[in-house]
Amino acid sequence: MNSSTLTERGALRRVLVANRGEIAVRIVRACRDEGIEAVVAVSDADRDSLAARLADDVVHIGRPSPAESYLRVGQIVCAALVARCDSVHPGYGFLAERPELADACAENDLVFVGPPGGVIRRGGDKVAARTAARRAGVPVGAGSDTVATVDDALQVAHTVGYPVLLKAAAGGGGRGMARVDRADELAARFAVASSEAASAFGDGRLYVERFVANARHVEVQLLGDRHGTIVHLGDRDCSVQRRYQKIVEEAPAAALTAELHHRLTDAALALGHELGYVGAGTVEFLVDLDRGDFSFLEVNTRVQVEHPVTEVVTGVDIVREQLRIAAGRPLSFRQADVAVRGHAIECRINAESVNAGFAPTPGRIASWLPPEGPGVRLDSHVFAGYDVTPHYDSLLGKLIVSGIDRDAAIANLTSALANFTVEGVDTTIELHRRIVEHPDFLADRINTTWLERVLLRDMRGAS
Amino acid sequence: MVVSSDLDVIKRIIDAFERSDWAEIDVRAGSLRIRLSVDGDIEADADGGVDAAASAPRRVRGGPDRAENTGAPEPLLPSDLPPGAHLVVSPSPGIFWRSPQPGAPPFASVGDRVDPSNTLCIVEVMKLMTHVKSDVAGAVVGVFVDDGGRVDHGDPLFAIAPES
Repeated sequence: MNSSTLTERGALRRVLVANRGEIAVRIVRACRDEGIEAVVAVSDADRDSLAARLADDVVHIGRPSPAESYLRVGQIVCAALVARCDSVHPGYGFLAERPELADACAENDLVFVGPPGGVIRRGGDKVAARTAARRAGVPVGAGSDTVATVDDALQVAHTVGYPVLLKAAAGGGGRGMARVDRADELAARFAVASSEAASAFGDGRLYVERFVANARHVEVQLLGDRHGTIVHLGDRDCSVQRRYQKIVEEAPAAALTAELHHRLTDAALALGHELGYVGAGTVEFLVDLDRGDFSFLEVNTRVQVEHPVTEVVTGVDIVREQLRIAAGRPLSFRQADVAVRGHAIECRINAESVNAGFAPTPGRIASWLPPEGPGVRLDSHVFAGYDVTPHYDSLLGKLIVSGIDRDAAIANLTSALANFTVEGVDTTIELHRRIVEHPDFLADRINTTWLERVLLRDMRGAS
Repeated sequence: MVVSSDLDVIKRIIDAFERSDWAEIDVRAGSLRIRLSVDGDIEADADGGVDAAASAPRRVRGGPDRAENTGAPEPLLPSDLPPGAHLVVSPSPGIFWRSPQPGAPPFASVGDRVDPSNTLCIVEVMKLMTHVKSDVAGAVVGVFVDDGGRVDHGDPLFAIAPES
């Protein structure tokens, strides 16, 4: 179990999958492809999950509430030990970006499939990451480091100009984030964002950033091995968002010029080297369409929900590479081998009622009839009879569809969405149908506020 | 009984536990269950020990066991309701939480006076937290659901005796 045996063998033997839902299924399959045994950690609510059925073994780690199972470092480490695993894959969410899990694995001779705790700390803290980005020569959005008081925030906002965003230093996923349009709104928004950040991340620190109105969210996928090699797998456009939650993701970011693609990937690599990055990670940027430039947003030190679009256009299996990197093997390819072919689009299919303000809809899946065919991939843990529990997020699956170019991918996606039927709970499938047929989406004339500003307003007006 | 091949695993887990600041661990793989807590309980059993362990008293530092901290023999049946009591019902399906976070005191207990500004509980559905407030001012006379219990839309959560 120590690192020398691992290096000699060059492979992990038995991985604990410390996650649930579709990503647990994804990791179990990657383990199988790599010839590694997979053990899934399950809460009481996930005993009959698809991941549990596919796994070589299962460990029970507690009650359904994440605070009593998937979020407990001790339960995860001891689950790996009791199941005689040599490694832990955290997936995304839960403990994936908590350095405490990476540290506890290292202390107990378990390989953490992800960056070392120190890299997670440097990359995960938004303010520390902004500092690292500046050192690497990467443009950082106008704004501040941590602001301690409302007065400090007012001063920064005055300098960069309204509107501004207040963001959580420890944050992500839109929590602890607030847009402020005028100085007289700032104090109230500051209090709400800070308390939201404190309850979500145990850390109420905020910073201020200039709000870019006509922006695209573009991110670059990195893979770094333990031998100092870092490569990029191109970019993704994740501009279709609601309340900072991604809904649709595409690879590549087709609206960018070739020059902007290069500048973004160069910037991501520079930051990756500055952080000493190891494993799979993403560098997120805001691309300002009006100015034709970009600024660094944040680093995600884990595999991301939307990783499949990159896999589809590059042919690289990111989760299998994570497992190889963790075992100490060098990357199986060089930067020169990476080529982006065609176009891929992912739709997040959530159990939510769009007409009821996106309220989550737990319940039993009565029927689940996903589309199939060339260029269609579905990453999901759902099956007919599956009980969508109220304990976890609403993601049912990710429909990933590709084509030789963006138009072909959209045509293929339109037909796939038409052939996707789910009964028993409300889903976002119909919303996706409306998105992909909209002239703005077809012409790739969208930005991060488009979904809420245009499409959802149109849908409300029509109903 | 615990077989010798399990002893190495148990030893590694005890070592990990002693190095850590974890309050309790409790994991089960196949027929092997291992439970440790900071008050000195150590249990490892390889066959049929699960029930015995589950029924053992649980006293842990900080307490991940939320139900313990909210105490009181409160949950009752709606049929026990005092006459004139007002029912507060669940706005959606979800999980019923009586306190803002694990280990914290409950928002409201039997005997407390509440009004429409008070949060009575949180109903959590898929990461969305809804603070449920009383629709009337009065005294809490009943709590119908255990902390952490699953509720459906319209399920009674609290009974309030309105102030006249």
